[in-house]
Amino acid sequence: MAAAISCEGVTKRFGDFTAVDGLDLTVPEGSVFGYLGPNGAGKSTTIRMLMGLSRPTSGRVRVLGQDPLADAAVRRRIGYLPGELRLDDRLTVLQTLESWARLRGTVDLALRDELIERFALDPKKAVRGLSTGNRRKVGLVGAFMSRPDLLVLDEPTNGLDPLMQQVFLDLVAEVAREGRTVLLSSHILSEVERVAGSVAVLRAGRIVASGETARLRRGAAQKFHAVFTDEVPPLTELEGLPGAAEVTAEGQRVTVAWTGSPDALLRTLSRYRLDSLTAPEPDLEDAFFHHYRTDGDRTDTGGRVEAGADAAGI
Amino acid sequence: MEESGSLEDFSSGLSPELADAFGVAEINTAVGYLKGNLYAVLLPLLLGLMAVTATGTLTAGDEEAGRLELLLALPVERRSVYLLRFLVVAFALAVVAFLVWAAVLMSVVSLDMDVTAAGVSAVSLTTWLLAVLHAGVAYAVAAFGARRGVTVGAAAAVLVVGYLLHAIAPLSDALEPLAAVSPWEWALGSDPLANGFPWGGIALLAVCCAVLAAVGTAVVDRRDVKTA
Repeated sequence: MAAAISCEGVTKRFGDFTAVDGLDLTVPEGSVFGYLGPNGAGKSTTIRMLMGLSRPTSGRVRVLGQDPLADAAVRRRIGYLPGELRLDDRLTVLQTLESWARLRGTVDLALRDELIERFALDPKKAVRGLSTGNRRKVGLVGAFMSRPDLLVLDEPTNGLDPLMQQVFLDLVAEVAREGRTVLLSSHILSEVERVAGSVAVLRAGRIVASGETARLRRGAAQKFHAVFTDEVPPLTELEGLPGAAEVTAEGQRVTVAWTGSPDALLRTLSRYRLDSLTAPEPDLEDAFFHHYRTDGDRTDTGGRVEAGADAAGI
Repeated sequence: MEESGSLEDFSSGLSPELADAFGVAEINTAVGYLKGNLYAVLLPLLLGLMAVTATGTLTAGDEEAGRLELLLALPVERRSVYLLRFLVVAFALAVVAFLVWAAVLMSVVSLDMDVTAAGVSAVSLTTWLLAVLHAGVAYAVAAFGARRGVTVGAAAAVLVVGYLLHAIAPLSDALEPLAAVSPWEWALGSDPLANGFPWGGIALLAVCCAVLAAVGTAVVDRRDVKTA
């Protein structure tokens, strides 16, 4: 199958700072692809190079077979939602969409109106008064309304309430069924894992994990927090279990980072008197970067600080 | 303030050179009055500042506010978007210059002033070109990726330094040759209100406008669009 997006050895430097470092990325046509990473990992930098807004320092970027810097016309086939969406405050929702439609030329008006309705937007409202979520919805309608062959969506669900996130995920699923390609970036795994067939995880400008979502999810570490009423199991016992990646204890509370089926862990824990057991939705930091912290450490401190700040913001 | 009762007194209190610099040497004539009050400093400066701020806002300002991000991700050429914005500024300046031209011409006729229509047309054209040239400076600076503040500041500096060279340099023999590099001198040095169209200066201004527009349009595609 042809590649909707291909990056070969793409590096982007801003002065001394390397935002994207030797990136190789292939998104096959007709796939829904999750582009994951904490804020500052280089996701938006990559996406802006895909859209021809930014020039790679070195390497080769091709989108739908074209060089996005040389060929503005290729963007007719791409729907783009920027991570930082700035709309013109002087226009209404409808005027905004119409201005994009004029510049695109290929807009399905029936689809546009259907999208406005599905996202529960009021087209007559002024952009000025819209909340972040509603602005995002305007951007999404704009990206989907021309039925593009490729959708490039940077943090699309940022600021959307759960109901609208569902509307969005349904739309992505419909687009995928029509054989069109979607690139979704996010810093939250659970946002993309339901629709993305495969993902790449970016950190400090490098891909640290990639492949089928389901397979990666199984290999991702999940944190379990257990609080014991009286006796706490010996940490060595927990550390000896095959899925345990990291075990820490603080008084009665034990935290285990675990990969794979939790079966063995639960059997062990159940031999002790549990006060509570929680397993929060893993963020990327827990899921993928764990190993990079404990193992010989090839990542630089700068990247870790960014990831840490991001985890706190989730 | 009693002594300043008449304009003539005001100008006669200045040395002839200073009066020239302020454009008030012949303030007791119709031509001198229009020149001293409108065309020597006020209108070129106002139009020039309008050109500089409007260009800076529509290019670097919109870009750093993030408003160009989505526009430039649509199937449009970046250089076309930029060039169109420059042309919009040039057109808006033309509208203002035209309105001033019409107003002055009407007053000239109704007040039976001793000013020729050709003179008013000539000075309106050169003043407009002078403003477009400074819009061009702002455009080229923004195209290289400068922020709005730098863009407006640099172009406004060219405007002010140009004025100073045009107004002050002729006062000193040593500095006088420098006046020739000032766009103000090309536009207003030959006193177009009195002497008609200065074709050499007009050509020079037009060429500079075209070169600045071409340079800006050529370089804007070669860099990254700034993020908000």
